Amino acid sequence: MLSTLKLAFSFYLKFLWISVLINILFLVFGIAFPVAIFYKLILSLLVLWTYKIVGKGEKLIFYQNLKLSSSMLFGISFFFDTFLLIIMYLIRWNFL
Amino acid sequence: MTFEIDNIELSIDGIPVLNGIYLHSKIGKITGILGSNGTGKSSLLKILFGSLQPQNKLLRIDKKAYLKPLFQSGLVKYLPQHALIPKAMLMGKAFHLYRVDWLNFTSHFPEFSKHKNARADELSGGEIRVVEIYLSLKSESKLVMLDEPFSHIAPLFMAELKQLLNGEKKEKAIILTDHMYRPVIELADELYLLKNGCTKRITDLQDLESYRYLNPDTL
Repeated sequence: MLSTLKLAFSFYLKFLWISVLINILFLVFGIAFPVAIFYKLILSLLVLWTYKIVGKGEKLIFYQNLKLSSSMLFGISFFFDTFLLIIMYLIRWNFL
Repeated sequence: MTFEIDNIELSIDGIPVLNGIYLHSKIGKITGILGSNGTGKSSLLKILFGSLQPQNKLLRIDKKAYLKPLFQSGLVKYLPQHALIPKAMLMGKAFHLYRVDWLNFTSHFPEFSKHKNARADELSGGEIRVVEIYLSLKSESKLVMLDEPFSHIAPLFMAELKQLLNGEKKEKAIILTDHMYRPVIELADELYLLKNGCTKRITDLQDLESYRYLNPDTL
């Protein structure tokens, strides 16, 4: 399980900075937390769709070789992303 | 352990690509697949791996039907035609994730010692291909599928890779396809030609000329 999380995190890292930037925009524009989660879900599905439909699915073979399907990979990445969003909203609510 | 696939029906935009396939691979043997451009070699490997869903297929492991994508079994490693390792990933990290020993690798390929902390996109096309072949071969599996592994590989590395392939086949089934047909013929214990959507078992190399895969008197 830990190795699966590590593997998925190595995939998620490539989206980390853009995700932080989007979260900052949500906070600046005062987007409510549930709405932010919804937008993030839509964005994640769009990225998954892009990978699967626009031929980038082949770039996931590195992870599939380690038994991680594309749905699982994006599911765990969404979990990491939600965790990051929660942390950033908690910081905003408690300290800013 | 044996892997067999048949009953494949694959059409893309209504055009039949694969329809009469039988492929057999077992531990201890290298299975070579030859075929001209666009005959469906890569599609066949993707179907076997489970990343491409055809209209129909039957995959058997030790004579028992296996219905899930094969990669979910953890039995297979697949080296696609394009890059395997994500561009930004460090070599050491890739070896760690695939549980392959870097020092063992550099004992085979000392030229790579300096690359442990290099990103994949900092290596040349040939160098990264060597790394990817090694990772695919040495990571834990029962079936290794290599799609055009020998592109851009220097002759010195080719000799070492051939040795590795012959060593690994003792514990794994290996499926190999490449347009560089000479190394494929040299390495393969079983050879198939993919033509008109069907596989043809090649037992006499002259058949490669008869089926017009090679020009007459090439061999």
